[in-house]
Amino acid sequence: MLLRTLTLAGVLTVSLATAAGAADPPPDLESLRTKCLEAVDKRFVTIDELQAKVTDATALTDSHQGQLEAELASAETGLIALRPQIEVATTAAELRDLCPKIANDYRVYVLEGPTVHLTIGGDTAVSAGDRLDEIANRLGGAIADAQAAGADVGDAEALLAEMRTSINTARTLASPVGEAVIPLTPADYNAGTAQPVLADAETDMQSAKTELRAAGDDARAIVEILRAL
Amino acid sequence: MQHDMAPSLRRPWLRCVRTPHYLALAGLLLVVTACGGNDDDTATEPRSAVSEPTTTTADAPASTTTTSPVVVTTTTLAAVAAPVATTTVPAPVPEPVAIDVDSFDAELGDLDRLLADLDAALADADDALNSSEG
Repeated sequence: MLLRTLTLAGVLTVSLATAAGAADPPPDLESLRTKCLEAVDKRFVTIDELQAKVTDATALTDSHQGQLEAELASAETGLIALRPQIEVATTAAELRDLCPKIANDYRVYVLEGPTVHLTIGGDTAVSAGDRLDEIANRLGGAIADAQAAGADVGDAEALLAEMRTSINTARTLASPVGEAVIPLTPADYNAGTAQPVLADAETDMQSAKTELRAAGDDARAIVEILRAL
Repeated sequence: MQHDMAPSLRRPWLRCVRTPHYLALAGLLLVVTACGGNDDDTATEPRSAVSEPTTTTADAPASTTTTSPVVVTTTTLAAVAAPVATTTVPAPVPEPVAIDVDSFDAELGDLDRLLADLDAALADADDALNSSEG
């Protein structure tokens, strides 16, 4: 009885040990290497897409365009240097040291992406504000002409004042966005200080967009008033 | 005391009537009247100048002082007549306000494209901020 019991215990122990080994097998070196290289290559694709957006964004200021291109080029250069190190690693321990750098040292998705998009958004909003300013000035002249001709333009004048207020608010919100997010670094993100800046910038940009749409609606309403004279 | 005077003393001219002097005076007046016909031109010249203002003004404006009143009168009448004429003309109908509002349509179209770019940028930013990858 005692012997059976001991034998059973020994079998159970061997079985449990075998099961534990099957659930957590030692990582396959080549499998891990492949995953890391895919992660690097995905970021190359994303960087290329971001660079194309920066190049195509006509509203971007020259300064912001230059700074964003430099940031993306720096990330690309770093990943290009990291990739061969991953390729030649001979131990899992080396890969476990190198692979986290892909995300932590460059933050392509959670920092570079938002930075590029928010900066483009901020400069686009400022450009839209400038365009709305020109429209507002021309509408002001048209309203003055209509008033000189004896037309009642009270409603149009009130809408124009509202339009100008919306434009100024949008510009105040959007103008600082680029300067706020471009200097953020992967280290800032890793320390948790970049996220609030990015979140505030996004909130300001949503508000700026709302103000710009309101200004555009005011402009259309003024045009309809003038058209009806 | 005057009632006690003789009529000839109170009316001295009666004495002339009653004397041959009257006849001499009457004769003299006749002569003067008859000869005075040669002086008619000079005697009536002032009246003639005043009575012909229209022709004088037309031929030689301001050539004499007598023409000035006519010129002033004519000018004054013209000045007064002008306002009367304008008040009788119907008020002009206000013309439609000619403002080129169609040009704003193109500008607002450009603005829509900018705002669409802004929408896309913010959507991309939102996706990136919520990315599950680092």
